[in-house]
Amino acid sequence: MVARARTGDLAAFEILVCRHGPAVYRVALRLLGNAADAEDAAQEAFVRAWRRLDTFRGDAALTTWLYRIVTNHCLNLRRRRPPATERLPETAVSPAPGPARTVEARLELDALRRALTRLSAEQAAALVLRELEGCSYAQVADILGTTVPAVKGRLHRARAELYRMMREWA
Amino acid sequence: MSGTALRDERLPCGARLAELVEQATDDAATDTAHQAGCLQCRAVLDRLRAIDGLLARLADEPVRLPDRLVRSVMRRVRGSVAAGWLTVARTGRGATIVSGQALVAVIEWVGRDIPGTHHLRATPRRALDRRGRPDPDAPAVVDVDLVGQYPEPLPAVAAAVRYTVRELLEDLAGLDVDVDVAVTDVNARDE
Repeated sequence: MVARARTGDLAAFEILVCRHGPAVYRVALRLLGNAADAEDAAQEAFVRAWRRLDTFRGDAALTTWLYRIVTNHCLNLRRRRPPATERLPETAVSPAPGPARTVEARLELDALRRALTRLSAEQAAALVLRELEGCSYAQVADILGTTVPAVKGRLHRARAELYRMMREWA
Repeated sequence: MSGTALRDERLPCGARLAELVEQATDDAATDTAHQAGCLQCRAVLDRLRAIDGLLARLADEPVRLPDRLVRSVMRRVRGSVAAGWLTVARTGRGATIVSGQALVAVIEWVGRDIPGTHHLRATPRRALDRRGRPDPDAPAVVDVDLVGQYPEPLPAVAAAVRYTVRELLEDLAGLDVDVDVAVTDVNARDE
């Protein structure tokens, strides 16, 4: 499919977008924290992928390559537009009426989502790829252009930072 | 927001936060005798493990791909194929052509600063000929999709975008283009 897309076959590329769209969008959503920015970043990532298909080397898995493009793009956006100290709620936060436990569980998840957008961009990227997308350490290192020990260090610091941000809620 | 460096942060009982983080993520690690009796260490470890539990839940949370995404990606990709190269000058000694992509980059860069635009995308294209193929002799059109910023009036924003893009391409490349503006969304958050 990649080979066909490389020759300019739009239908083949569309299949790739459908197939990998969810993963690319998820990463953008977790790193940027809101649906509108995520949709835009995912769109941009695929357009860049299209332009650079000829640079895709078959030795890297396509998913790794797409993860790299979307992650880099989101990290650049975050650096360019540092998150406001406290952004307004990204999604409709008013919890649906329901058992108190469900509401509490949703608020905890919302707190985590917000915390992810406030971590340093490098830490957030490592955490999202490893813990949310389930990439291996080696894959994360490859995507972020660094080493496995560096990835482990970032994950470690990311956890400590999450703890510091989230220790207030109990 | 991080006052002290991680490696220096200690609990009141003297335990180092960094070590607790290490321990909480290592399933094989067992709590030390000190931790078994130290309420502070227990609380931190519990919290760290709770955060890992939350991460696992977030990982399992289904994320719905916006319906528009595939369509909007393909629209831009088709646009970039159709725009290809635009001839900006034809002289007796050769022609100057500019890629549609180069123009996109400049338009989006300049467009970001137009008041009332929260976000902006440009897609140059050629008008199509009768058989539906890009017509190299037809004037170029630039499709601009934008997200407005509340409360700027949208018609005024669209007009400002059209004016700015037309001027830009005239100055930069001597191109006379039509600019179609589509407001796809309005952002109401403070920025």
